[in-house]
Amino acid sequence: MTALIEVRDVSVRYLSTGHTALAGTSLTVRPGDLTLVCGPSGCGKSTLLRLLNGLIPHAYRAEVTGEVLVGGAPVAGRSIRDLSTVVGTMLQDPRKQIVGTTVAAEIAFGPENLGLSRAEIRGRIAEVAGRVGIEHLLDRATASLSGGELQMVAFAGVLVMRPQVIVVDEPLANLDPAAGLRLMREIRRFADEGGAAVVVEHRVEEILEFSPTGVLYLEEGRPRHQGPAEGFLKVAPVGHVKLPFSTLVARAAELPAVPEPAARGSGVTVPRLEYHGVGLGYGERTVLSGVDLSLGPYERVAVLGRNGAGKSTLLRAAVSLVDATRGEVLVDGAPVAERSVLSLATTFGYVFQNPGQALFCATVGQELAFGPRNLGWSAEKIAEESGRALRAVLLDGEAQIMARPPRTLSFGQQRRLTVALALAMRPRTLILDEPTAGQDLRTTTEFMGHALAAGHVESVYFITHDVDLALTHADRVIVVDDGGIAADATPAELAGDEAVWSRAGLAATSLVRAVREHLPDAGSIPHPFDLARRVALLPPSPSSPQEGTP
Amino acid sequence: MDVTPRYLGAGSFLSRRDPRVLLLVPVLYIVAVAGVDDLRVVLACTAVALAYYRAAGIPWRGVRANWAFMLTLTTLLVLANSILTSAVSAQAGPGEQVLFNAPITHSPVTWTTLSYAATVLVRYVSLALVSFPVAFNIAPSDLGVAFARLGLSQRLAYGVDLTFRFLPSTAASLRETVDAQRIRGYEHSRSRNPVRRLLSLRPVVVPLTVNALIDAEDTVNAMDLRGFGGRHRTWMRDLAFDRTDLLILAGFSAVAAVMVTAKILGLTGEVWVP
Repeated sequence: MTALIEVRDVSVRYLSTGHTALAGTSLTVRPGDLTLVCGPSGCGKSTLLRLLNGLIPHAYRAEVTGEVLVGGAPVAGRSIRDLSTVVGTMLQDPRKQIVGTTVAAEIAFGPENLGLSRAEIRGRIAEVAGRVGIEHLLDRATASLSGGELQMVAFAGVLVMRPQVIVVDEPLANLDPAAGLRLMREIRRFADEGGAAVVVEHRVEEILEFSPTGVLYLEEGRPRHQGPAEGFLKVAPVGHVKLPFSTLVARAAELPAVPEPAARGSGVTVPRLEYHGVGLGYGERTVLSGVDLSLGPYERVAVLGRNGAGKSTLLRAAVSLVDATRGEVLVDGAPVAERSVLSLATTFGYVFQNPGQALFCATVGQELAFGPRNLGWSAEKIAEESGRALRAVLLDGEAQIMARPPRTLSFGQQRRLTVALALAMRPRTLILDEPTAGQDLRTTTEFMGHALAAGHVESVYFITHDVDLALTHADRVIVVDDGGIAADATPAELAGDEAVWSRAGLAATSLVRAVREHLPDAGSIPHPFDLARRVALLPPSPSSPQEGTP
Repeated sequence: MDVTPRYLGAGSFLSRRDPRVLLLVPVLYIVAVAGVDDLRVVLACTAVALAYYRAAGIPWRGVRANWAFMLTLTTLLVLANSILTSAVSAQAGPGEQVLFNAPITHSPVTWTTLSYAATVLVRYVSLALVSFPVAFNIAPSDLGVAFARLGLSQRLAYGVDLTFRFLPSTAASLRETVDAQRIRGYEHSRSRNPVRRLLSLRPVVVPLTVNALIDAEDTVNAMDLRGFGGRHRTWMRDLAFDRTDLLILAGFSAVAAVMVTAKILGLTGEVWVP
C-alpha cells in the first residue's frame, strides 16, 4: 500500500537557536494507520509534526537532513497551502486555531482559501457538520462554545479540507476526559474509513484504548521505540509515560520506589474555606448555585468536572476574584468579603494554569519580590522568602537563577516558578488551576511533589482533568457539574461510585477500575506503583485476570 | 467586561441590507456635512440621519451607555474647542453683543459662538446616528467580506474578521492577567504622575502583549495550514445589492451631492445667527 507520509532518517536543527530537536527519525504512515507519538516534554514531538505539515521548512528556519515525502512528493517542494489538502493539522489549543466568528464561517475558512465554489463549500460544511454531530452549532458564535465543542468544530474545520492524514497535537491536554474521548473516537473513525492520523499525546493510556497501529517514542530528539503498541508497553519507561494499570502490574518488578507523602498537620480546627448556600457567576450568568462546602486547613482536595462546569469559579471565590451573588464564603471563619485580595494572598497562593499570565519582570529575582513587596515586607525578608520558595520548587540549582529573565526558563520551569511566586508570599493553602495540563508524567509527578511538600503549606486544593492525578494526590475529590457540586467523596469512594463516571465529563481509567476491584473500602489511594506492586503479589483470580484493563 | 460584538439590530430594516450599504452611508454622510457651519442645514441633515438610525432598530437599553459616553465626550470636545477657545470669534461681527465671557479662558461668547458650538455638537451626534448601525447592525461574520467586496485586500479584509473573532478572547486574557496579578497585590496606580501611572500598568501590559504575540504565531501557523494567503479566495457569504440598497445609496449620494454643491456655492459656510 502506498505510504501517505514517509519520513526517512530526518534530523532537524533550528537555525535560531542552533538546537538539534530531532535526529535520525523515520516514520511511515499508510492509509488506515493511527500512529501515536509520545515522549517527555522537549523530545521533538512538535518538531516532527511541523515536518509533516510543512511548517518546517516553510515557516520555521531550520536545517533539515534526510527526506520527508507527503503523497510521494518532497515537502520542501510543495507549499503549505498545497500540503493542507493532504495533511490536516489540529493544534493543542483549539482557541488558537479557530478564526471564524461563527461555527459555519469557521468550517468554511479552509475551503474558502482553496477558492472552491460556494455551493461546494456549503455542501462540504453540511457533510462534516453531520459527520461530527455539530449541525446544531452552525449558527453559534465560536466565542460562546465550550472547550469540547471548540475541539469538535476545529476538527470539522480540518476534515472539511478532505485531507488524507490528520496530525493532532495533544488532543486530550485541554479537554475533560469525556470530550477527549469523543474526539479520539472521531479520529479513529477517520483512520478506519481510509484516512490516517498521527497523534501526539502524553496520556498514552487513553490513546491505547483506540488501538493505535504503531507507537513512536522519542527521547531527546531520537526514536527510542518504534513499532506496535504491545511491544511499546513492554519497554516504555514506567516513570515517564502514563501506562495502563495492567501494564504496571505486569512490570511491577521494574517500578521505582515512590517517596512517602509529606506528613501534614491535623487537629480539630476552623475550616479553611466554607461556602454557605453560595451562588457564583459573572454578570447575569450564574455558573454555580446552592453550593454548601467546607474545605479543611490540612486537606488535599481535587476538583474535577467538565470544561466550563465552574471548577475555577468555585476556587476563585476563595481569593475574591469572583464575588458570591448569593450566600456567604468564609475564609478561616470570617467572610471573604471583609478581606482584600492582597490580604488573602497570605492565606491562599493561587497558581494560574498559564505561567505566562504572571511573568512580567526582567529577572526571576524581581518577579519573586513583586508580591512580597506589595505586602510591605523588608528587603531582607523578601530575599529570604524568595530563596526559600526557589528551593521548594528545586529551581535554586539553576545557574544565576535570580538574574535570569523568567521567560528564558523552559515551560516546566516557568510553571514551577509560578508556584514559587505564590510560595514567596507564605500562603497556608495552595490553589492550583490545572497544574499539569499537557505535561508528561515525570514533570507532573515532580511538580505535584514540590507543591504538596512545600514547607509552610498546610493544604493544597487543585483543579484538574486528570482523573488519576486527582485520585492519587488528593484525600478528597469534589466533582462540579450541572451548576453545583455533583460529588464530594474520598478517592476510593468516588472510584466506586459508578454513576458519577457516566456523567460530569469523567471517564473511568484503568486505575479507577483497579481501585474499584482492589480497594473497595479504602479512603485514600496509594501511588499507582505501590498499588500495582500490591496487586502483582495477589494470587491470580479467575474473576479478575486482567486487572484494570478496559 | 463584555466586548463581544453585539448584533443588536438583528432583524431590522437596516440589518437586512447589504453590509456595504451600512459602511458606505457614513462615508457619504461625512462628505455631506463636513464643513457645513449653518445650524439649520445640519439639523435638516440630522433629520435624515435620525430616520436612518430608527430604521436600524437598535434597542435603546443596549446602547444607552454608548450614547452616554459619546455625548459626554462630544460635549466636552465642543466646549473646549468652540466656547473655551476663541475659535469662532473671528466669524462674529465687530459689533456683535458679547453674552458672557467663558470661564478660565475669558473668551467672549456670542450668539455666533453658541450657534457654531451647537452646529458642531449636532453634526457629531448625527454622525453617530449613521455610524452606530455599522457597529450594531452588521453581523460580525459579514464585516470581512463587506470590506473585501469594497476593494480591500483579502488579507486586510480577513484581518477585520479576525479582530472581531479575537476581541472576546483578548478581553478574557486581559481579565485573567489582571486576576493573576491582583492576587500578587497588583493595583492600578492612582498617582497623578502620568509616567508613574503608565509604568504601573507593566504587570498587565507585558504578559498580555507577550502572550498575544505567542498566540498570534500559533494562529498564523494554523491559518497557513488551512491554505490562507492564496491570491484567489472565495467568500462563502454572497453579497448583492438589491433595489432598496441601491435606493438608499442613491438617496445619500444625492444628499452628499447637493451639500457639496451648496458648499461650493458658499451657501452653507456661514455660521447662522438667529
